[in-house]
Amino acid sequence: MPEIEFLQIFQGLATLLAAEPLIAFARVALIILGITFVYLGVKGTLEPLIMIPMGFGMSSVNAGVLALSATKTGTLFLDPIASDPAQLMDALQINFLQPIYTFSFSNGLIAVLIFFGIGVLSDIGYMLISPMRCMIIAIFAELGTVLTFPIAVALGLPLNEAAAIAMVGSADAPMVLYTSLLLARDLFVPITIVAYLYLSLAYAGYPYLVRLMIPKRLRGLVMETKSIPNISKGEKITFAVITSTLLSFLFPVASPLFMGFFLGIIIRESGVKPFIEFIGGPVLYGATFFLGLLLGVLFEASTILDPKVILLLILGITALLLSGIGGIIGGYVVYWISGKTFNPVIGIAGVSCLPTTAKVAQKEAREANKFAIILPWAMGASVSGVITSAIIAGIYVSLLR
Amino acid sequence: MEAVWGAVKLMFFIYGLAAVLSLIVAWILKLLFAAVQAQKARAAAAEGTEDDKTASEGSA
Repeated sequence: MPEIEFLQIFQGLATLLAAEPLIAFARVALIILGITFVYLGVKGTLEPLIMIPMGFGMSSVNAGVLALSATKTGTLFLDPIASDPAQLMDALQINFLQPIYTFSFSNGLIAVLIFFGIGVLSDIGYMLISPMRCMIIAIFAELGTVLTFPIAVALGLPLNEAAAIAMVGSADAPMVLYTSLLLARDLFVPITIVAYLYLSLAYAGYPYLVRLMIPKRLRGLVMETKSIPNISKGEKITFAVITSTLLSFLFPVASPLFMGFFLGIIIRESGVKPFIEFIGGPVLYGATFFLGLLLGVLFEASTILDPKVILLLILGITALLLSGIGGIIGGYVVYWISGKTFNPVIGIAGVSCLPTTAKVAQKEAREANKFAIILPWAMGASVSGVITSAIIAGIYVSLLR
Repeated sequence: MEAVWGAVKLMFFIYGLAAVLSLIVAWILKLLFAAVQAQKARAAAAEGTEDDKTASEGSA
């Protein structure tokens, strides 16, 4: 019987013991963090659709490190920096997630697929109730997306990386992924993870911000529901076609996002049921699942040891906080413009992630006054927020790419 | 310091441009909706005139 080395059988343990102490510590910390994400996702504290696959991917990839050669360690998951054709062919044959990463992730396709799904779930009709008011709120709710940019530059980030992290303020994680892929490819993994992580936390935190900034009397303001107009499918489709064409013409770099979102809306309104079910179901949930899983897998120990990650964590939360404050200020502005008939809580829905912030707004209004129905306006503000975020993403990418 | 000041100026430009474009989108929406409503009102009015005409011809 040949001599058997214990560590030769358990290669994961061998690579952990052979690694530098800091790397080994970071790997163990990320395994624990990943398992914590899964737990919090299952419990519902964090967004389960993203956190369960992301947490599990993170713990698996940091556990599954093995010796690839005498001098090199790695995993069999994927190689994010493979770009040379020969290197890429090797990676496609070795790493089991490489095909999905190469053909859908590194080119931003996965973000566009999620935008198809968001479009299918979005009723643009809500925005037609009061387009100007919704858009004013959405503009204010981008405060974090723009204010974080000079703050990040002041803290030492170059313009492209500052813009990529500032996009976290748009509260639209697929958009953050798309812009960071174009603007700061080296940092897209931590930036997108920061975006998803903070979005889960922000939705838990935004109700407190609303209660802090808006008195109960105003939170419970009842709005006139008779003013909701009847909008035909044809009008919605016409709007989607015109707006998408105009925005794509102005910002070709962001046209995949515009096309994805507005095509989703057109499919929804066209009533082609098989398409609606396919895009709103398998495409949206499939893309969300693989987005979470691949982000987790990309989050290796070396990523967290980048000193910029701490900075990104600070800037990410700053962006979301400023956007929340901006949205509520926007709610107040419309409240005054409308002669005090508009519930300012709707402002928080301008922070655009559909439909969560709109639900947060409705919940807060309902808790203050059980007769307060603000969801249609809140949904309108949220849809406007998606459009405004895409416009800002288009400007950032056009100027700084 | 110069880089930060440049970023602040760029921020104002980006925010201003985004605000203008967003309001243009909202304005397109408003205009489109107003045009469709006006067309509906015209169609309804034309239909009403047609009905009145038919009714008066019937009573004669």
